[in-house]
Amino acid sequence: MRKILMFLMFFIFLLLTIVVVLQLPPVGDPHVPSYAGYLPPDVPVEEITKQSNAVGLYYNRGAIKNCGSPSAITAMILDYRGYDTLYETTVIFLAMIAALSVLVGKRKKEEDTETWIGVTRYTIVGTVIKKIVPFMVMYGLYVIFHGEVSPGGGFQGGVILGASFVLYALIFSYEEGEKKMPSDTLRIVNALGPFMYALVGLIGIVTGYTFLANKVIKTIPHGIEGTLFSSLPLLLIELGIGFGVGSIITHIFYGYVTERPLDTQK
Amino acid sequence: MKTILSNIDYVVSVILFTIGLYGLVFKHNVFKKLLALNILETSVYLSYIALGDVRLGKITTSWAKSPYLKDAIAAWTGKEIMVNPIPTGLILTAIVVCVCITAFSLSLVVKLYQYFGTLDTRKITALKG
Repeated sequence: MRKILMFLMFFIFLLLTIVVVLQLPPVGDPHVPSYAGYLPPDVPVEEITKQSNAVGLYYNRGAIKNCGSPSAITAMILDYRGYDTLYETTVIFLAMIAALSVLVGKRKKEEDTETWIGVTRYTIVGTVIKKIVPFMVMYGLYVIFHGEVSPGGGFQGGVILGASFVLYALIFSYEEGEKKMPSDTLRIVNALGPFMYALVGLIGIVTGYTFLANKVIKTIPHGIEGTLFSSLPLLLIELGIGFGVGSIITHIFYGYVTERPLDTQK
Repeated sequence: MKTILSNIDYVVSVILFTIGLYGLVFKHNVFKKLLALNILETSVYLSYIALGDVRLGKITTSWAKSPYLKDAIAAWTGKEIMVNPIPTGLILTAIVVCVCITAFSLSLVVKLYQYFGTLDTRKITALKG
């Protein structure tokens, strides 16, 4: 009886929220307030700031000019809202430290590859994974390098990189994965995301501007639309975030698979 | 019916939110509660992305090199409209925070199972009292 009542309550909640949601303007309507607006070719910035949705318009207009990145989203998260992403990389680094400080168990030495939960004994799976992992790594690097040209970036490419190592260690045993990507190496690469970000931000201070003033770095052509190396600082940040996130994902996986109950470890 | 079809993103988001809330309240397994939390966060992502979306809007400013069909269509039809980048960027932060929460909570779940031998919240509270 009580369960039926609770279920009814959830149903009423669902109906009420659907009724509320139907009052919103339709999805994709150009007349909604959150729409980033018509993009005329030559409109001065003063005219843009008069509109109600000025921030989105400003990001879309200034992505090439201010940051050298054709992708407005990458320009926004790495340059305009640089502090946000800097602490975001710090947060994922801290989450890894917290997870690994909770998982203190050790995988025993005598647990060899025969007892692994994976499917090493199936030849087809092992062969296919051995063939497919290099392409996964290459695709992850592609997404990282093209982060400031097209949708994608450090976090997405880093997760693909980490997933390739996780897949290898999952199919073959943990020891095999440890041979390919040792946790000593991961321990160094882990902090690359926040470190690279802060380093690129410090260049702004050295050259006489503010922290994270990315557009002052003009060692290579800056702001050419559609080319790969159109923005050096954003590329450096993407590389740092990508390798950092990939190693963090792999390291968290290593922490889980080596976890054993405390009373069995000697 | 027409409003439901035009607002289908919001409706699906609300249904996902209710499913996640149901799992958080009714499921007794801690791991299932965690999965329900992930579903709930997915509904928030969906509603935010739908808020900033524009029909046939472009994603990047250089449509020629863009791999997205949406950009090519927008350039072909001559509509120089772009989606709002702010909700998409905010959701990237939310996804990373969700990954961090899931990683840390799963490590706590592993420890919980080691100490109590079960993930049922009723049994864990009974053992405590």
